[in-house]
Amino acid sequence: MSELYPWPGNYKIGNSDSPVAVVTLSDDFDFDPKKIAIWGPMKTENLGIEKVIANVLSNPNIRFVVICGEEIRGHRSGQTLMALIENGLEDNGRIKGSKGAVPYIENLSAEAVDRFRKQVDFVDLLGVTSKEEVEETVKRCIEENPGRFGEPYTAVKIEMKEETSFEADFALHSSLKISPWGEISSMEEK
Amino acid sequence: MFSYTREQSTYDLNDFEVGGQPGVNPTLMVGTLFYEDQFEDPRKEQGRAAELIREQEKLSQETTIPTLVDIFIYEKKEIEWKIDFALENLEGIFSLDMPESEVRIEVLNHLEEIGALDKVVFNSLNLGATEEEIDKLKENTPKGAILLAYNPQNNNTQGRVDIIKEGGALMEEGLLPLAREAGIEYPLLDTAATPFGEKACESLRAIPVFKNEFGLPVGCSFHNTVESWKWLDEYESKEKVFRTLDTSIDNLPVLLGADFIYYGPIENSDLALPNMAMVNKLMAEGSEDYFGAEISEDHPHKTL
Repeated sequence: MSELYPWPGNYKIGNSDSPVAVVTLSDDFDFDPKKIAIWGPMKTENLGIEKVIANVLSNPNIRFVVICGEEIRGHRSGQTLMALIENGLEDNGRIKGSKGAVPYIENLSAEAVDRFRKQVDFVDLLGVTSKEEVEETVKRCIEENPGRFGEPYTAVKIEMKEETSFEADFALHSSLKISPWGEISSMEEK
Repeated sequence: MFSYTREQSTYDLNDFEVGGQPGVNPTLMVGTLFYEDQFEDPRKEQGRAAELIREQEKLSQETTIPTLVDIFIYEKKEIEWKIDFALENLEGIFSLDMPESEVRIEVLNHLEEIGALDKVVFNSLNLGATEEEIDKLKENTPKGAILLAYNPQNNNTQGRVDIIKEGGALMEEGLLPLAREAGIEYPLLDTAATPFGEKACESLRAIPVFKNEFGLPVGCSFHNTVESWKWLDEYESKEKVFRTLDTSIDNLPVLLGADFIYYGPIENSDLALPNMAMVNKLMAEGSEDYFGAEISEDHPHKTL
């Protein structure tokens, strides 16, 4: 069985049968856990969004992402998440239409991002900090639940590996040589 | 203690030298002002902001650690008054921290209009720069710029080098050639602090690699790694230890040769500057004893 919400983050877990996830941006809310599958803040327009995607994909019951709370200034994480769901990615991983600082998705496959965009719709409550208003929206989403989106999808984190070894005569990095006298130079230098 | 066989360039900012071999010049410490939630109403609290600048200046004199001020500008409507504030309250060069590309473009226009481009370290030229921003930088060129090596496609040290050198898989050109083309006189290479779990140590490993590869002043804003640490955020004694951790992490890149540090909230100057004076004293003593480095008379090694 695949793991639910496998990517660590600052989130709270409620009812996994609920079709709603809530991204609260810079705010914290104390929601009724019976109504919402998962909720929490999201600070960054790259790594933060990747965590939301991976965790939402692990629960195909989630069909709505409600985006509320005060926007993260500079990062524009809320606007960027909406732009991602609406427009997708450019070839180099940049989120189309984002106004954020560094809006790139690089640790998830294009397939994972496509699947996320198909699985969920977003509800724009950007700037809304009233818990009642958010809960009212959550209620409407539950009423409009289109049903489970197939099987859970496990998003694998793409990581770049460098060749390293403790056997070699370097300690800091493969490009650097450190002499016994503490002089740092390039590996190829004599 | 280390030294680099590659020649290390230095910059003359506000009458102090930045860069060079580890231990020779004191570390440039940059304190940040007007960051998110620092003030309830920043525009009304400019008096307090000016006091914080004076405190950093006083500590800089006492410790002989050179400093700059970094001013956050989040939105276009803040540009004019924050730059006016900087020009009124700061002598010489200051840093402007602008997360959004659209804001950075407007800032460059405004600096050109008021003739203040030569006063500014542009923070930062990074992967998020749009074509319009890069064209604007070539037209309205600031004196210095932080070149941020953040590379989400590969945040290993090599990925960070690639962003600076040739753009990696994400940019057509590297940030350093772009800065050179634009005519930025003082490119400052930032190894880009990342959170724990996101190759945080690569920001540190990249310090000697950058020094060796580029021979230019290198630094980072390592306190960001502390500030994104979830455990610390929930730790019951956070209040007691936070400022210490937020400033002491800066000792690590400096030991490997970092030339400048964005140490975070300017309120922390009372801890950050004496701490750095201590580290600089130790390193200068090591460089002098071991490598025979000549240490200037106004270095904490001689003054404290």
